Amino acid sequence: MSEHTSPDDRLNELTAALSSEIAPPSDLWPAIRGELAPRTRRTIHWDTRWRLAAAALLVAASSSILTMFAMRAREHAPATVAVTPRDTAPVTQRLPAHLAVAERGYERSVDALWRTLDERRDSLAPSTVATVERSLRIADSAIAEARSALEQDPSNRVLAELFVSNYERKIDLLRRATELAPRT
Amino acid sequence: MRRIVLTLAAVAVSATSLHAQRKVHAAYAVTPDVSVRLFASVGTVQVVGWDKDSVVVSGIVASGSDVALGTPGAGPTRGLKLFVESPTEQAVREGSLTVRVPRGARVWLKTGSADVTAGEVTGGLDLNVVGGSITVHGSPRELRAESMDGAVTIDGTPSWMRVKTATGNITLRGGEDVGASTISGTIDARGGEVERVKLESTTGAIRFALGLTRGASVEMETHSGPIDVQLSRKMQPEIDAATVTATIENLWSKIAPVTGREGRGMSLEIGGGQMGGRVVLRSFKGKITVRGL
Repeated sequence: MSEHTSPDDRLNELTAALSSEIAPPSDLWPAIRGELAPRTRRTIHWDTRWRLAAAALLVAASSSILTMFAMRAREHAPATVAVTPRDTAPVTQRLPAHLAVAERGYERSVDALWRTLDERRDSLAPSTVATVERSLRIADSAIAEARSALEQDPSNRVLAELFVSNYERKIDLLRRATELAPRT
Repeated sequence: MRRIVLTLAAVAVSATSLHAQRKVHAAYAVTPDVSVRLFASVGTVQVVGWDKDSVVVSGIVASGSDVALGTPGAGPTRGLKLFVESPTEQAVREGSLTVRVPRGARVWLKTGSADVTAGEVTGGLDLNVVGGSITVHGSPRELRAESMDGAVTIDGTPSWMRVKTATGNITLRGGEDVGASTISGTIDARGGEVERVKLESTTGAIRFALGLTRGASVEMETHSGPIDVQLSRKMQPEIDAATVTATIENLWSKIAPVTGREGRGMSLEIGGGQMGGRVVLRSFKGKITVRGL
């Protein structure tokens, strides 16, 4: 009958023959206890100190770099830069937390793209700049309207979706505008 | 006498114009899936797919244009970069190029105010204009078409398509995976069939009258443009529509839309049949209408 035994049955036979307990090696426990023992105050202290120092350095370096870029952008911007009204200055306190975070991220992207667009403004055709600005005003107006409605009804998911989509379309438009070829 | 003077003047203008132009012609042996990158500041560009393993660029540009068409190599090339820049706005309008490519080619074209027409390409098209229009005939595997001002018309059903404009109107006939987005242009989708589609606008109207494949996924979203959806009665998709302040008109079934909280906005939910797909409609203040095709 053994020729008809299925692989599963055979496996069951083999596993049944195995011991149900395995004693650990006698020298294993000291090593585990060493790993579980609380770290000394000194170790934790220095770890934290190093981490804080590294974080401080990182923040200082990023801040300096961002400031440098911002200053350069300002220096290189033409005198006529203050172009488009920014209708959607965010007041993030009144939005739901996740949307406030999203909005801050969007605004950072918008600012960066605006700086790039301002730098390239003189190389674009006036009609193109006019089209872009007109469309951005429409996008800003839609964002402001959705934002205002969200403040009244923060749990409205449809509204939240529309708010986010309006921002994404605006950012996409800005991105495309920054990628236009000169004199177009 | 006056007629003669006018005729002479016309001939003189024409001669000046012709004198200020020069012909362009270049041909390259290429692989069937060649990648062609073309920057052209001219008035019109025509991209035509053909059954030959060669790229031929021909046309007229204003004299004084900066033309870099490269030198044909000894064997078939896999990539080409072509460049035409006209010296003035007037010169741009006078320039005209026709680019013939193998059908399976991938073409990347960037231009300013040119009217671009592409046809018979089954590979990939990435077309980018500012003020001109884009018209695509046929069904490339991949299509990306972006315009600021100009209209985009896709007269085919690409497998994958993304269309974006700022103010330009978009017309399309469906495809497998379709995305179209505009700020204030309109989106008109009719005449074909679609599997996955997302249409979005800020203020532009969206009109949808495409057939749906089994299990199709349809999304439309606007801030203030009206959304008009026509659906074939052959399919029974699930419909989920919601507005923030606008009305919803349901001419598709007898289910009445529900007025939202505080008496503003509406929602409409209609269960679908098996494999009927799903249609999601979202609007802030643009009216949504759902009806039979």
